[in-house]
Amino acid sequence: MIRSFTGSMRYQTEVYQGPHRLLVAVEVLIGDSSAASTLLLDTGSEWCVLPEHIAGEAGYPGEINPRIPPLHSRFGLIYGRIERIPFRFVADVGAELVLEATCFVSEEWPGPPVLGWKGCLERMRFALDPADETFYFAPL
Amino acid sequence: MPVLLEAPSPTPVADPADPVVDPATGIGGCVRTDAPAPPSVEADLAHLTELLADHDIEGARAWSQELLRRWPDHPRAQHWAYVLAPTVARVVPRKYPPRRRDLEREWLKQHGHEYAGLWVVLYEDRLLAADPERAKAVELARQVPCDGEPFLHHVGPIPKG
Repeated sequence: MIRSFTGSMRYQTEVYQGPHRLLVAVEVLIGDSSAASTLLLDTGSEWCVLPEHIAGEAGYPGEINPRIPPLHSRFGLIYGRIERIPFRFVADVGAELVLEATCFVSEEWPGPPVLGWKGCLERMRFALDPADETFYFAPL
Repeated sequence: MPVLLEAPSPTPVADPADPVVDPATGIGGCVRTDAPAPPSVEADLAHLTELLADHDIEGARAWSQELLRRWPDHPRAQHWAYVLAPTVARVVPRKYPPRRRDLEREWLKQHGHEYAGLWVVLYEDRLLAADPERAKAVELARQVPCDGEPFLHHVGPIPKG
């Protein structure tokens, strides 16, 4: 079976972002941000998760919505809000990919920005090739 | 959505077993009725919250569309229908020619330790800005001419030993 991709980028492994070790990380331009950010690729995360300061800088400031069920995480229960934020996957090769990701945003989130499953990875085709540390992507 | 409504009845039905009802007058207490609940946006939104709490995201998506159908002018119904709607990925033209980040990564290997704890903004092998605050680093980098998309990175702590 052969699947085509429209773009690819080098992913990073075991990169540190502050005190956090990102096992597999990819570059994404978030919202209106002018610089690409490094996000933890986590297919086991229900949502994309962004710290408040990153969402704010990307043009999506806001406050915790107490009506939203908290996020269960390794840091405990995290309260926040849910936003839909454009993500642009920066390509080293080929074309770039844009989607509007559903993100859990919280000022309580102490971890790195996370690229999660629902509302993001589930809606794109992707593959990882550890031979040359390449992240391939395409629309569904 | 079936809802059991608990509300004072306009013509209370006395139930001697119900201690709330005044046995002398037969007035007071609550009655249950099988009549459907009046539509309530709060109840519908609460149901959405329950679905999210149960991690039933597909159920929440479907319900958010139903919410919008029922309450098309309600801002929270509009918000949920928007944020939960399945996204569509699309290919977009590049702003800049494709380029690997090898130079930035090499720079981080060589100089990252000098900027421990800071956000750095790089383009190729040039440091555009560095600051403890991410937003400040991005703002400083905006003021530096650059032919492509810069790379933002938070330099981790220097390993001990």
